[in-house]
Amino acid sequence: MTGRTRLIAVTLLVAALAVVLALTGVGAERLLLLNLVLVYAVFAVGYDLAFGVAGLLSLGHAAFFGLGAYLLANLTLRAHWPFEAALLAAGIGGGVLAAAVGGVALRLTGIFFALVTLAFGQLCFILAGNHLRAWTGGLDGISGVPRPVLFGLDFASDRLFLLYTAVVFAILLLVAARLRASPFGQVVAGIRLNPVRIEQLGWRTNRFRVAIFAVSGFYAGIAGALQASLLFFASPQIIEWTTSGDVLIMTVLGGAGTLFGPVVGAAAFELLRDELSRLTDRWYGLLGLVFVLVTIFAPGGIMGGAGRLLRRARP
Amino acid sequence: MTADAALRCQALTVRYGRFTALDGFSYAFAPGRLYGIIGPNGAGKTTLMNVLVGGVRPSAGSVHIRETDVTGLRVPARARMGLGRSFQITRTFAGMTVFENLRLAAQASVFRRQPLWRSARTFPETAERARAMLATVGLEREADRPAEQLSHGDGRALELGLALMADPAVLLLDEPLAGVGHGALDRTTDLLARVSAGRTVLLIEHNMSAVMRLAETVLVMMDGKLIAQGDPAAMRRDPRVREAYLGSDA
Ligand SMILES: Nc1ncnc2c1ncn2[C@@H]1O[C@H](COP(=O)(O)OP(=O)(O)OP(=O)(O)O)[C@@H](O)[C@H]1O
Ligand SMILES: [Mg+2]
Repeated sequence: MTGRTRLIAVTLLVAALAVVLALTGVGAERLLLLNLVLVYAVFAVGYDLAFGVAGLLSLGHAAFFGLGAYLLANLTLRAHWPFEAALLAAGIGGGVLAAAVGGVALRLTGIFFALVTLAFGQLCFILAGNHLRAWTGGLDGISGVPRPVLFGLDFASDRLFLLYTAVVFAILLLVAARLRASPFGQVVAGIRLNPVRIEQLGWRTNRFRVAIFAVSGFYAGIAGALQASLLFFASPQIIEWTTSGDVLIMTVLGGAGTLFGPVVGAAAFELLRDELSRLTDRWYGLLGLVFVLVTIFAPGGIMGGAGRLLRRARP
Repeated sequence: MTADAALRCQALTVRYGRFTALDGFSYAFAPGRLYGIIGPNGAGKTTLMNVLVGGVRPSAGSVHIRETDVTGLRVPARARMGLGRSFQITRTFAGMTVFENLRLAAQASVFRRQPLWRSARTFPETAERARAMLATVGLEREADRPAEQLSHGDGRALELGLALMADPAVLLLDEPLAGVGHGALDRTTDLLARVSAGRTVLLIEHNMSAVMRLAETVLVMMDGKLIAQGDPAAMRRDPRVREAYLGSDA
């Protein structure tokens, strides 16, 4: 099988699995969990375009995620846009904001870039909670965010909404795969590996960095919008730095720099969060411990570890 | 004569704090010639190259490519004007195979014509050029090996291949023979002679026999200055050159 057919096969498999789970008797609580997994998988796949492909450590992706949520809430509830138009606008809004942040912060590299994005994210968090109250609903957030209705089909139930998220996820996963394999994606990977050489070949590294960061912001905006629709609620809580931390943990946990790593990471993260939060209030600390253990003992994440096991099993 | 220089620099000076690494360096490099640049360690040879490609801003002076002032242009802009460069320290794409390294470099000249939605693997033009370069620099058998696993000598060959991929009119080579094993020295020198044909080449090299064989003009640098220049045989006899190297390792 070529890489392309394998990719399409796996994507269809994941989407089909979601569909089967949605249509068969999975408990209501599990349906919410599956929806969350797919929403965060979109977020993490986009995050890894910046982190794993371009090597940009962002701690401010919560801002793009949050903007997507608020854009969807406002455009559907107040401006009465169709859901899909609002969803697209949420993605574009996330992308434009990321391009603006990247345009400024990408003059810096490494930890300095990370700190500027962190500060920017926290600034947005404060703005959303206080100063932009008219638009964000302040600390109360905006409730009553709708679910999509398409071709007369109402996706109001978690079961049907899972179909919707599965389709969006499948499309965005394929786009990410395309982008990574494209000449553009190869240059971006080259920038991570050796920026000096890329400049010597005649490419302006900063343009590519800003571009991939914008695409990453688009994914975050879409994911934020889907999450608001899933929970019927856009809250300033999701703009807090922990959301940026969550998506970083998912990506590293599953395997940064791989296409499916962030998907696996999002699933593992949400399952662990679900199980651990049932056992103890200190679940976030336990998740952090799992994260630290993975980075120490399996630097390639779950995907990297699984790959090593497979290779060892094959003689 | 200076009117049709491929590359010309005027009174180039680079200061690091109070230290002057390049001190009023002027020269006009004629098209199609191979210039050997020699001088003891710390003479300012790599610094000169860094200023010529645009990686280091000069404290004073100017650089012209084919009589266009490029002093204010950065590395990518000058590269697109046909200025290629290999580095003293090997700079390849670790994590990609040798073939992928060259294919990525091959994209540089056709990037605008490559649609975004197609996989980089599916462009025959870049793949063919990468394969041809594998043959040129003698890395066919290492094609699928990750770049970081290459021997030092093969790494130098890949470094040269990456610099050549854009087919630069002016090629700056910073010690391409450094660390190349005895057995491969003649072969690599032959390779340098072959790939230099039809280009303007600035060759920094400590290996004197290679410089004597390849260079048409030799420039001698010391303490950031050009202290002598002329044909290789004359430079070898020049007392200033002997003095510059006295007590150094060359
Ligand atoms: N970024 C820098 N900051 C301070 N000093 C520098 C810097 N870069 C180079 N130098 C100094 O400038 C001088 C010239 O360095 P350069 O690398 O150009 O020498 P070179 O002729 O290439 O030597 P070699 O043969 O060892 O490669 C050296 O003394 C070096 O220490
Ligand atoms: Mg040097």
